[in-house]
Order: sequence, then structure tokens, then C-alpha cells
Amino acid sequence: MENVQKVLIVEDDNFLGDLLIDHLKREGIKASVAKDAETALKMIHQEVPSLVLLDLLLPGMSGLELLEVLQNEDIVPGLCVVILSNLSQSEKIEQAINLGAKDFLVKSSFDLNEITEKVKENLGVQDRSAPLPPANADNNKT
Amino acid sequence: MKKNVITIAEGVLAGGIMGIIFLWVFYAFFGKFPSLYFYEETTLFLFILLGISLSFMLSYKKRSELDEEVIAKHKDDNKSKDDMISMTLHHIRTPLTGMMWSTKELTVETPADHPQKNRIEKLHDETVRVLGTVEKLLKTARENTGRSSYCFELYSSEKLERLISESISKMKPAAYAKDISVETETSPLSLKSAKIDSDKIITVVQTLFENAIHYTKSGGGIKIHMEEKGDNFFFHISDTGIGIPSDEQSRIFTQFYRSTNAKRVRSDGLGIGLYLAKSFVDAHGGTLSFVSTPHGTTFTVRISLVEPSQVGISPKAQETKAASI
Repeated sequence: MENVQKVLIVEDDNFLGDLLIDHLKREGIKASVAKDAETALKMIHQEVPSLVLLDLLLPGMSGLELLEVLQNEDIVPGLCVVILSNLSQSEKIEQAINLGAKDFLVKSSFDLNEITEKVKENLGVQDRSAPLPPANADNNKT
Repeated sequence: MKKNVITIAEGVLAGGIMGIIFLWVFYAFFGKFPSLYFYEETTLFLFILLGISLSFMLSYKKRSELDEEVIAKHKDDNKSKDDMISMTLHHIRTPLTGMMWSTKELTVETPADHPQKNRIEKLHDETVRVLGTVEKLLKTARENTGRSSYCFELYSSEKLERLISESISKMKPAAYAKDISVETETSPLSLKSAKIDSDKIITVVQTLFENAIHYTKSGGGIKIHMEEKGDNFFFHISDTGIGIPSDEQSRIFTQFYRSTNAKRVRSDGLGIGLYLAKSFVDAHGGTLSFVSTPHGTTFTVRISLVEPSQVGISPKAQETKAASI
């Protein structure tokens, strides 16, 4: 059966966005890119992705603000959000996790294969329709 | 430019005028000059002198205020500079991350017998190195602008020891690659705990261990000892390296400072590792100290411990500042 799970990448940098989408597609994962939070919100309504790979520093609405909207409005119940940002401060990680982010990946500490593995891992959790385990922020490799 | 401090001539003139005005007012009200058992001319001279002294006192006070203003402005200028550096580094970091991802893919996908394989691997290693430098500079800029964030958690002595040991284990291969032996020893630990930011402590340990590797010749050794004494946890790291010249030891924690012998061994260091390490340890309310001879150096990190029942942390340790870009 074809894997229908979709990933929405929210990334304003073209270079990083292209690399991520190419790599995910090569791994057989359907993916699309939104360059800002407002567009991402529309695409979440339309495409109903299984996972959002979310940058925090975005033009206009920030990634954390989008996360807050997603949590308050519960647009897609059980939507898995993984933060992929270069912000590595502990308080940002804590804020994101408190707002319901499933994982926090620091861009410069992960390569594309590792990011894809994390995406697959989180999609796998959803496949089993299991309740979300407690979030952890141990992925900031130092 | 607006002139804020009076000159000697202006002081004398102002003082003289003030003295004459004072005497004139006195004469207008009382019909005579104030008498101080001297001739009236002497009195006039004394009041002019008083006026001059008063002018210079006011001028001196103004000068002190100006010095404070200059220092405050200097601090503001430095903060603006650090803010600008922070912003620039952040913009550099994004494309560098893309380059790191791309070169990593290239190294994995290029066949081992490809003539450019070695060059591609070097390209990746250099990209990672530059990205690491940018990260370090960003941490420094954040520290300088007071925007480092700390997330303190309660760690038992044993958990802290495990955190440090795991970090050391990951770095051991780099020491072995340079034929440097690594010896670790831990004295018995109690149930006491420390409030620490694990990321910052790992950075401190990494910095000290990397320095020990950099400045120890092949065949040398690094010894790590963790122990508890009273209400303190100690992490000692000793090497058989080049040491820190005694006349430069007072400047070793200064930002961008590198000792003369360190520069001879490694020309590409930044001189921010120890500065950051000390800032991080200070923020924990601990100390970072060292003893150095031409035959080696021992750095010691001291972190305060509390009984398991005590949960409070020092005001400085509680400080959590706004995140920077």
C-alpha cells in the first residue's frame, strides 16, 4: 500500500528547504514546503499533513506562534510537529515542547539522513495510533 | 561638539565674577562688605578665591559624570557591536548548515575509488569546522550581550559524574588518535546534588578536554579526576602539555587572548573557549581555576552541592535571559 503520510516542511530558506524536500522524496516520503507560518497554516488545512517539520525563525508569524495556534485550535487532531531550528537555547526547546512539539532538532547538529530518520521515527509513532509519549528534548547534540 | 568641562581661564573668570556678585549682593543688603578682620581688599580677594574653588569643584563633579557617561556609551557601543555580530553570524550559519548537509551527502554517495573522494571529505570536514567556529562566536556574542539562556536541573553527584564521563568517552578517540593516553578516576560520591545546565557543563568539559589534546604532544597523557570535598563537586583535568607561561596566566580567561606558546602550537585558535567556560561556570556559582607549569596544566571546575532536600538555587543561577537570534 502506498504511504500516504505527508510531511509539511516550514522553512523560509530556499537552499535548506530544497535539500530537505529532495531528501525526503528520495526516501519515499511525500513532502511540500511552506516558506512562512501563514502559508503553512493554510496548507495544514488543505493538505492535512501527518507531520510538520517546523523552523522557528520565520518571516512574520514565528514558528512558536504557529505552534501555539495549532495547539489552541487543534486543526489536525494528533498532528505531529517536529522543530527543526538553529535556535538551540534551552528555553526555546522547553517552550516548544510545552506547546506540544514532539521533538526538537538543532539543524547544525543533524545531517539529512539523521533528520529523515527522525521524521520516519515520528511518522512511525503515528502509524501505530499510539498516544503521544512524553516529549523529550535530548536531541540537541552538543 | 558640545563642550561640557570648563577650562582654567573660564574657571578663574567665573569664580571672579561669582565673588564680585556675592560681595555686591552682600553690600546691597547690609550696606557694607563682609568683614573677616582683614582689609576690605583682602576680603574681596578671599571671596574671589572661594568662587574659583567652587567653580572647579563643580567642574570636577561634571567631569566625573562625563566619565561615567563615556563608559556607559562604550558599553552600549560594545553591545550594539555584539548584536550586529550575532545577527551576521546567524545569517552565515544558515547557508553553512545547507553546505554541511550537502557535503555530507556527497561524502556518503561518492564511491570510495572516486578521484575526488578525498577532496569532498576534506570539504565536508572544513565546513563542519567553520560551522563550529560560527557556533562558538555566537555563544560568545550571546554571553557578552547577556542573552545566554540557562536551564538548570537538579543533578545528583553520580548523574553529574555520568554526564561528564559520557562526554569524555566521546572525545577519547581524538586523544588516542594523537597517541595521548587518557586516565579517569572517580572518588566515592555522596547523595548530594548540584543545580546545573547540562549543555553548558558539557561545553566546559569539552573545551578543557580539547585544549588538553591540542596542547599536549604525542606520547603525553591526560588525567581526569572527579571527587567531592565538603559541599563541592570537583572536576580536575591534568595534562602533560606545554603549560601556560607564568607572566600570561592572569590573562588566560580574557576573551580572544591566546598565550604565546599556544599560538605557536595552533595558529587557528580563537581564544574564546576558556572565556566561555569560565562564564558558564561562574553562572553556576562555581569556580574555574588552574595550576600550570612548563610541564603541564591542571584545570579544576568546582560546582557547589546541596543536600537532596534543598532545592533552591542562587539568584545568579536562576537567571534566564531572553534568547537571541
